Amino acid sequence: MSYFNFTFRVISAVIFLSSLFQDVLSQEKYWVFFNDKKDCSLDPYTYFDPKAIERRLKFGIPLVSETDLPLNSRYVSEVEKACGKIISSSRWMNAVTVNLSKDNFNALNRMDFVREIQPVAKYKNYSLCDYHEEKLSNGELELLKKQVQRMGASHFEEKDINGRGIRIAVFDGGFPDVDNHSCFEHIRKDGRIISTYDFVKDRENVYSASTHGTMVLSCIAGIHNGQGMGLATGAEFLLARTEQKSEPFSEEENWLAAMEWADKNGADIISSSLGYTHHRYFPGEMDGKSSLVVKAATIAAKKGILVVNAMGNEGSKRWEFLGTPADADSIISVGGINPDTDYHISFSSYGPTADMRPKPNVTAYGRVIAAKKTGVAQVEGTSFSTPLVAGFAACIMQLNPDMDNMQIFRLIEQSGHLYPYYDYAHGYGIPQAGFFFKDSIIKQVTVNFEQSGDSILVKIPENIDLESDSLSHMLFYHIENETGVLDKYAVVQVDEHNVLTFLVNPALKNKTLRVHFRGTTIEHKFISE
Amino acid sequence: MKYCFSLFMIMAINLSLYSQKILLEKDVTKAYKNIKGQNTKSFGHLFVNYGLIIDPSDGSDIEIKMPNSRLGAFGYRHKFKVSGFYSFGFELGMRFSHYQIKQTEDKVFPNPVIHDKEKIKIYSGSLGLYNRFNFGKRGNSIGKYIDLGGYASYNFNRVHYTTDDVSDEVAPGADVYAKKRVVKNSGLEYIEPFDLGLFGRAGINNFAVIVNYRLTDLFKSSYNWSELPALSIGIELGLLK
Repeated sequence: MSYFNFTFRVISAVIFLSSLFQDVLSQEKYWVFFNDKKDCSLDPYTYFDPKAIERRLKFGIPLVSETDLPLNSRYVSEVEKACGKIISSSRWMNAVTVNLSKDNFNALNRMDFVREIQPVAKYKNYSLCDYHEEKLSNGELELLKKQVQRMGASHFEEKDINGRGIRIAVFDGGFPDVDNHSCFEHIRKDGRIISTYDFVKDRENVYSASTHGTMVLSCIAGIHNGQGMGLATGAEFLLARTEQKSEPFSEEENWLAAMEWADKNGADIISSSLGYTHHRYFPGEMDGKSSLVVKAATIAAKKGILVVNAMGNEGSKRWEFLGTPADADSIISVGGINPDTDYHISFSSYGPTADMRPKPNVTAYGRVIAAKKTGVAQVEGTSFSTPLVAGFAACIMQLNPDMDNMQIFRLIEQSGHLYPYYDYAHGYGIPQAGFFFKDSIIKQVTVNFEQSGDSILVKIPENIDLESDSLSHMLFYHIENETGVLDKYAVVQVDEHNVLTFLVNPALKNKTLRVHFRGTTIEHKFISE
Repeated sequence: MKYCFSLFMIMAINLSLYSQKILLEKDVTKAYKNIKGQNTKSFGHLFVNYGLIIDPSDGSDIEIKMPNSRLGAFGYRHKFKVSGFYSFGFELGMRFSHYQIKQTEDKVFPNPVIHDKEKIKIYSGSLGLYNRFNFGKRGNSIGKYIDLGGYASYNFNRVHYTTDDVSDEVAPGADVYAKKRVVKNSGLEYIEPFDLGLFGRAGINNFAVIVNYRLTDLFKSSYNWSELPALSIGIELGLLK
């Protein structure tokens, strides 16, 4: 081949490839953040639902804060003039989303009221759908009962506590057949679906698209053949479709818009099963500060809403850690428990956060029976642990109407079956209704330390039964360092009364050993000499 | 040093377990350290791709059938990240190119004989070098990218196949009956043993659209045929972990 011919081929190939790839550089969706809300005002009594006003007044939250104010209309119209249609807007973030080309990007950057421009991110829903046939096996029927009984449902039933009067907003990929499925008949009959909005299609009807939301809602409030599938069967609901599909990715703008909508419509609790991991972030950014959704979740908490979010299903994957916004410090992050073993289910993401704060806060079953389009099915994912805890939270709110969201948050942690023990797989354990009805709790010392010379023996007293299959054989322990962060934690199956021995040595100096067994938590501090 | 300390600490913390079974054990001292992944300094993965050879129908004396003519590859790719925008890397793989020759009256390649089907199959080992340009914010993922690179390949197996329907040709009373006759000629002398080419990819995470363009002649210069098409377009699946 001649030199000329070769050169010609190279040039034509490069031109061809360049033309093929030019689409990649085309428009993308961006957030445009504004500097201020100058000259903006709001009448809270016309804007907010009475329940949102009530929440603010009850907990001393200002009726109107900066984040509630509408956007500056001049800023919005100038952006619109420069870039075309505004796709969405967020009062909380003081921002709009628009499609931007490179030229638009530069033009906006020059506007004095624009603080920042950043791409809109995508998130992932935490479900591992594993459909079974409609007719439940005996094991699955048992699971249906256990998923609420493990949290002490009978205590609530006895006192007729079912989340009555509590408004829960559920964000998901769609709620098909919630408008005619038998599991939700009691909710429809009482008119307890207060409002719905599809943020993907910009319309009110949410009863289509992904079944994931239907399954999640059933784990808060469904009833199947008289059996509660969640604990808040008496609560009222705001249903928001925020995702395109259950498994792939959708955009954070819908989630933010739904957050503001839920606040406006008087939500007491937001139950959400989404999160961002490696598609947008590095593990080190799971610090409760970096993501837009974590900021939004934190604003919601400041407005008195209890946000309950899934930890994620990355536990057995390379990522391993929680996704954001589960890293926010003021929201309840929920991990998964294996109903067969009663400890961490393998896919449930681990804590702590990147800045080493403990997460998850609590856990619930990560494999459950949930409603699907017709009938019910067994499904997996921290997506379903989350609504179980959201339902529990609604019951606690009903029980303690004068407590604000953060007080409820702490109570739920304290009700965990492991509390005050915690670790980064189980948090404080599975919330227990029995905690709120203290008469029913019988305390018995089930584990202690024996120190001899240079060793500490963790021992189960001889009078404790280690033969019975109906009692837990799991012993939890962790080593906490002097900064309050765990160095190590483990779960051990106990078959003998002498469980484990720690050899005292310089590496344990100033560290704390905590052990939990059947409701008893003991600790030993290795003091420096 | 840090590793040694951590290891020492874990061993030192240590304990003797009696006959108990450990169900879950986590060492948190390693959390958020030594992060690996798709957007770290060095990352490798397997890939597989498949594409169609595009005949420009430029009056060449060899015409191929589309979409029966195709090209594919599988192999290992490694990426070295220089910045958020730029990375470079290499890939090692096996490629195949199948050209199905159109059987026309004026056919000359590789001879004028008309068959029911006629194919040239080339199997190669290949080494590629590429530049990667990433776009958009991403976390520890591949994200959106454009790759531009070149490859060199060694065509270790060059085969010519012909297939003919011979059901009418079987002599009455013959012992063996067959409907098809497939003739394979390997070690084709007229095909160059080495190729050079350019490739480009536009991808998002696992998926990419790929374009290959062969720069060198496929046939040795002593043979007076025009060239087989140089361009192919296909899709690729990255087997990312």
